[in-house]
Amino acid sequence: MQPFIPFPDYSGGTPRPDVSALRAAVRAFLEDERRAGTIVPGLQSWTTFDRGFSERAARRGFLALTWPRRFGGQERTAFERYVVCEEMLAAGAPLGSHWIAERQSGPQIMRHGTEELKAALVHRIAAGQLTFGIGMSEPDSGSDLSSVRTKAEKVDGGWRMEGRKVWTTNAHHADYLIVLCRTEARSEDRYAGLSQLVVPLDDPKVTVRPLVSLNGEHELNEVIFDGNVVPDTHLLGQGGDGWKLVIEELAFERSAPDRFMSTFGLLRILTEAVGASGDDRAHAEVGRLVARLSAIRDLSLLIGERLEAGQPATGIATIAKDLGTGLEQEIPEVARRVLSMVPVRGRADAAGALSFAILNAPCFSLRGGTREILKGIVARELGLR
Amino acid sequence: MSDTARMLDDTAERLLARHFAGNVRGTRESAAAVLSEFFDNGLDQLLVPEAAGGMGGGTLDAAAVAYRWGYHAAPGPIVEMLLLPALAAEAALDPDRTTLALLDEACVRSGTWQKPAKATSVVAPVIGEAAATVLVCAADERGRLALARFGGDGMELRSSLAGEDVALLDLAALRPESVQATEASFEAFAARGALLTACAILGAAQRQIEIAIEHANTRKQFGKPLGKFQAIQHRLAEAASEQAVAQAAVRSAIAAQDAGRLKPLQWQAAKVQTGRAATTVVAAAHQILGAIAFTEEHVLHHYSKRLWTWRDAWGREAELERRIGAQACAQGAGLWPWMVD
Repeated sequence: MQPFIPFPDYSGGTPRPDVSALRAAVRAFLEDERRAGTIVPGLQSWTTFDRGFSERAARRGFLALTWPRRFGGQERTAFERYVVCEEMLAAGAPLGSHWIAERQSGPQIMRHGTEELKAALVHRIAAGQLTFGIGMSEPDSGSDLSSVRTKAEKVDGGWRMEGRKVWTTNAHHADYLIVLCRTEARSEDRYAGLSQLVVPLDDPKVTVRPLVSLNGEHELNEVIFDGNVVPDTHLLGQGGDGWKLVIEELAFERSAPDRFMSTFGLLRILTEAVGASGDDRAHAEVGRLVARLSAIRDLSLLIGERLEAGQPATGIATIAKDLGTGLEQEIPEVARRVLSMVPVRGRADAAGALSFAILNAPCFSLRGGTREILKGIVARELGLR
Repeated sequence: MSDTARMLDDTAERLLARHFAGNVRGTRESAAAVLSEFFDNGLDQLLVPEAAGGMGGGTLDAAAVAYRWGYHAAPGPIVEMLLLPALAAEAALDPDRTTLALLDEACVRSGTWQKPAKATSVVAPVIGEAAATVLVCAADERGRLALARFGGDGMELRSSLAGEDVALLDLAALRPESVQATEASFEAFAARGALLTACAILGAAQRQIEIAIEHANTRKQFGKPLGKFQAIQHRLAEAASEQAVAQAAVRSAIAAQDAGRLKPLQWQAAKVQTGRAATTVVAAAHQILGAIAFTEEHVLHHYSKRLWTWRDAWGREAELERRIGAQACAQGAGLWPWMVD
């Protein structure tokens, strides 16, 4: 078996642009936002919805960095986009309004959408004006995505939809959902006959129902399609090739720093609380987390490098997500052991941040592919099964 | 420089593949033969500066050799073998009869030895037959590398987990014969030793993962290969994941050291992750290989014992984690910039 990462690596890696000015600009913007009260470290996550924040970030040039200029982008490197993303995540900024749209929906439309669709939507995503949701999971179709039952039937001028999607983050704020649905009857090949449609949610025949999380927050939703017709121009790809498109889309979802920085705010609170005068045991526990974070970040940066060079990265992207979400879940558990406090909710202090992280932790290793699915992918890449 | 690294990598691979095609390690004769080839091929000159007649290689160049050494579970303390010649040249010592040990404390002041405050002993792997001299590599008050020279008297000869000779120095009882100052940075020296050890670990862990996968795909129980069982798949996925994240950390730390911009966090995290990977990979490989690999009948133990040795050499996880944590906790609200700037 070849190692996932060639080693020793004589290539020297891709030279990276100097990003100190960019980092400084993002930090200055985030400091303004903190002063204005839109960022509450430790008490919100990157899924927190704030349209105003996204529009202001776009105006400062922090969205769509890598996109073509004709779509409102700046044609900068993937590394520069990575830097902006990690700075925002480290600050605990509310990214929910634009995150999915900018990370995966926009790129998916640019690659596979019709010209009409690109012209209508892509600029507005770059401007932070549109929110997208992911329409993959269904009540009976979780990890086994190919079993989706939501269907779209060809009608004159479009596709008539029936079905249900679940766990759709921020669907109650979203303008569009990219929905994986069956457009042809199921055959021997379970992956054939699926398509991706860009579905407008302002249709009276689409209903969004809240699924309140165990922390009492409303971010997840069920979306019901009951005869809404989606125009032909909203089909991605050729039709019937939806499985391939979904796999491509998921690659964008599994490699980014949001998969290991969800509880960074708590880690910072933890290091501050322990302080330089902390005892050796506390320092060792914190050091274990910081070392892990540093190494996972190296892995994540390497994925970006490999993707940009057109090299395979499925194995390491999957590993990065699995290890990253493990770290996100470990941080509150270490904080529990190191800090002498009882987690209580209601304020933006250490006890509040600890509560928030504990109550969010289960979802880290479920969303975007469960831990067990990921390990199965890694095993397959190793040549097992 | 990358061409040099590739050439050295090939040299080491040819040399070791010839010696260790099967389960034939562990004899004193084979160890001596490999050691003499190491010198005959000039690998000892790798890190010796060009001004001193060496090859003037960087960490990446030496990394390739250390990785191959681990991959073949080859005998001899490869990290000390790579690092010693440059120091021996500096200290005008006979490299054949000398070895070295790291002492991570500032215990040289104004050129004089101070009894270390924390460490009570150091372990120096013996290169070749016997060590007449141990160079204890410590820091002085300015953070420079100082070489404290200990003679053979009072050393206790023990063996490492891998069964190789080590000299144990009782620092409470012994005093160095002499102390030599150098202009080299102690931090950079300790980092290089840690990164080369990390590479040896990655090589051995890589080979163990390969052996375990091969076994899982061929050994059948209950009518199907072990690799068809999800429990086995996940165990191997976990081992390969630890290996990958450790590789990523080591790779970026080596590049940073050769570019002169290495931060303590980077090499310390890299050593910590390889130590963690070693633990996970060895445990997984033994669990999957079963009883046969608990015996000397199977080759696996050569790798396991080296991995267990190397994870505690040149920076143990517990100590490095404590240092990383102490630094991180001293940053106030500036944890993030400290990590990435």
